[in-house]
Amino acid sequence: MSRVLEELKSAGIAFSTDYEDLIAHCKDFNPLHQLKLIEKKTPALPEVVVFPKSIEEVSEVLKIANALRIPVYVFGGASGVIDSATPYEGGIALSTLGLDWIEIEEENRTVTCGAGVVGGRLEKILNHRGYSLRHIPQSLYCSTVGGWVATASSGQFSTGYGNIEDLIVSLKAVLPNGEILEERKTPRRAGVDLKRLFVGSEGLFGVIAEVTMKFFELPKESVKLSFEYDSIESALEDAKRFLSLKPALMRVFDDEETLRYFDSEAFSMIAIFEGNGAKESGMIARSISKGKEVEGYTDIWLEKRFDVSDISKIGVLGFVFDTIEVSCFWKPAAKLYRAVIEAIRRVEGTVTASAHASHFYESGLCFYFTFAGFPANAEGYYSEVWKRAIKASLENGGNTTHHHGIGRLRRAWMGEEFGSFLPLLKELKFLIDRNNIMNRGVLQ
Amino acid sequence: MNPKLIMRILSQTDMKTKLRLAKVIPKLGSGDEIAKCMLCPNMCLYACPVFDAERRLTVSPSVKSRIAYFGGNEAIYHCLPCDACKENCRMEISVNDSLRKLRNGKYGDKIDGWLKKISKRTEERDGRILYFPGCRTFEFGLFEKNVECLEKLGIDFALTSEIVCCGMPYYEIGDKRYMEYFSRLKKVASGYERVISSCPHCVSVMRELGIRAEHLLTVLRPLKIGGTVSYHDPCLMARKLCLVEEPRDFLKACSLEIAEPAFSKKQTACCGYGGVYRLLYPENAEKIAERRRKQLEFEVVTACPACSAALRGKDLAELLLEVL
Repeated sequence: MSRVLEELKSAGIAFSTDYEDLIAHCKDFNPLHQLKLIEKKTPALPEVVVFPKSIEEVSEVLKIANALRIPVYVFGGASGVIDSATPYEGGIALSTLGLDWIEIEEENRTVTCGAGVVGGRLEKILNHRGYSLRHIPQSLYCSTVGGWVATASSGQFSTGYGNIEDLIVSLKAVLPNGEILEERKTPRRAGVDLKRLFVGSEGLFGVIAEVTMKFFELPKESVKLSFEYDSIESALEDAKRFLSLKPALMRVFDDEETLRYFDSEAFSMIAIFEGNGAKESGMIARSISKGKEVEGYTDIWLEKRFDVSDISKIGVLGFVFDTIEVSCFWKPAAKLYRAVIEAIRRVEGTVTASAHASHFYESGLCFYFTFAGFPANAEGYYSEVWKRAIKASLENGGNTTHHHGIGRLRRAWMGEEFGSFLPLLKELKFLIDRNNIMNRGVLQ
Repeated sequence: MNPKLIMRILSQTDMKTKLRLAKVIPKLGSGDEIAKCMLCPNMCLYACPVFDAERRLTVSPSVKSRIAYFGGNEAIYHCLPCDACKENCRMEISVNDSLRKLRNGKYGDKIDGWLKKISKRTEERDGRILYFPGCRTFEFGLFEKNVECLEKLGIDFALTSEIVCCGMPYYEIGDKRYMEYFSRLKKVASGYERVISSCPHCVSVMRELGIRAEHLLTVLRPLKIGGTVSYHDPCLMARKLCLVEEPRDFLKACSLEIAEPAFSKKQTACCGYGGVYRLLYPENAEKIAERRRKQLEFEVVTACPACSAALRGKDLAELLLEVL
């Protein structure tokens, strides 16, 4: 490591081996790490944290790490939940937060950002000019643009505006050997879209350094609707019916989440239609819905949607809390929902298990399960819930992840997810990262 | 929590867990703020000016709490009293308030030296209302201008040379000397009907000490000026004194158009000169100021001596003085 420090110094790149900087880069937001913190333990520690301020500096850092075969862990806001950035082998924690430029091209409706730009700041700046990225993950205020791409993130308005992969116009990345990748920016092209290799790559192939995304005008008109149902099936049927009306946002809540949010024991759905024609779409939605229309649920949810304070409130008492998001086609959806809820509830220690469906596609949807437990053995409980929930999802037509990613948490099921594409992924990793320096142990 | 939800949860929970829950449920909602903040994913990150300028997770709100929890003693000083974190926190945690309790005054001598350098004896003047300028009004050369403005507006006010600083700088770094300053301030203020100050932080401190204190704005009279300005909300003015519309109404009454930046009102962005951050980390404070300046399109008007210096703008009294 002393050689690394010498080279970083001579390259003029800011770095720190101060204990406080190392503690700051000891983990991501995986729940088991949180429990360790309460015990004043660090899940891992890097040996050095580097703070590059430009793409060229990222390149220099990777050249040094690659030459000396030092592991590199990429850190943005560290809000990921899949045990991805945790520096288990020490090495270098590379912070992307110094890559923080924002260049708005109003005429082209595109914005080019450094990977370290925090989403909430970007959205606020766009809003001030009358625009929105409409990529609003719950982590908006603490996650970074680079992190969104690396995890293949999804936002609350994905049903209307797409996921992060639909918003990316172009990106710049730095390969493990320091080579900077850049392409001609264009709204679309034919041929192999190689930048897509970095979407959901979780740091495997290098560092995402800059992203150009499209943005939208803030809608002047919007209609908010909410309905109640007697079953998950009828709520999902309505959601499927509404898709043809192109809602910007839809969420189906099971009875437990409806109780938590809206103090009612029914199943429920909220929908937002926005932009030109929103009123007409809303009227049609009302006329084709089989649910009972109720007042105000959408506004209540909009007010509470970034409130994650329960994690802290129950976390300090030793509760285990996590979420599991999977996607499935329409046909098995209701069965999958019941199977996963049942699987989680059967694990001793479970206090609550609930779900909502939050991202919808012509062919299917994403279920987002939330569980909390108060077990005697937190690690054993956590592992058991995950095993049973993913097994239930896979056996009932679901997959293993929709938008949180794989990291180390889900790598046991990679074979199930990627099928015979998995060897190709391993070969690509070898081809691009010969010395295996990038995010070792993630997606592998 | 909703009682129906609790009943539902209990009906689905196994007996062993129910017994364990019985022991912990009374503690629900408890737990110290440092630990609760540490367990948050940093939901106020986007608003934290210190993080925004330093670009290090280490000085981000939730991570500073983590470092404090682990006994760290440097990142806990990298904070401003801006309360941008509290404004964006569902648990209403002020990271600076939490960290302040853990600071041990290690930068006391620095504060001492600075305060001695800027301290200035003022003329004594009698009156029912005491004008208390505060240390930064002296530091940034606004004292004479404020006095001239108040005089020209015909406002009756008293001045005293007994106190220069409210004690906030010592308080912020956990140096016990703040107690001496606070008690002197209370004693002096007790001789007047109320106190007015051009510094929102001083007003805030005085109010916490039970002193009847108001911002200078409450005694100023609007005069016709005209034009367009960017109004910068000083953090404590907006968030602690809750003076958001009042300065805007004042400027409008001066026939001024107000251009709002992206971060304004209670979601204002700190200028970097708040508290003692600038004294401890001047380069970082300048970065924050520079970032804020870029957000302000027109001539900057504000209502705090530190903000007006950081943003190279005009304080309210300075603005009036131009047409008086």
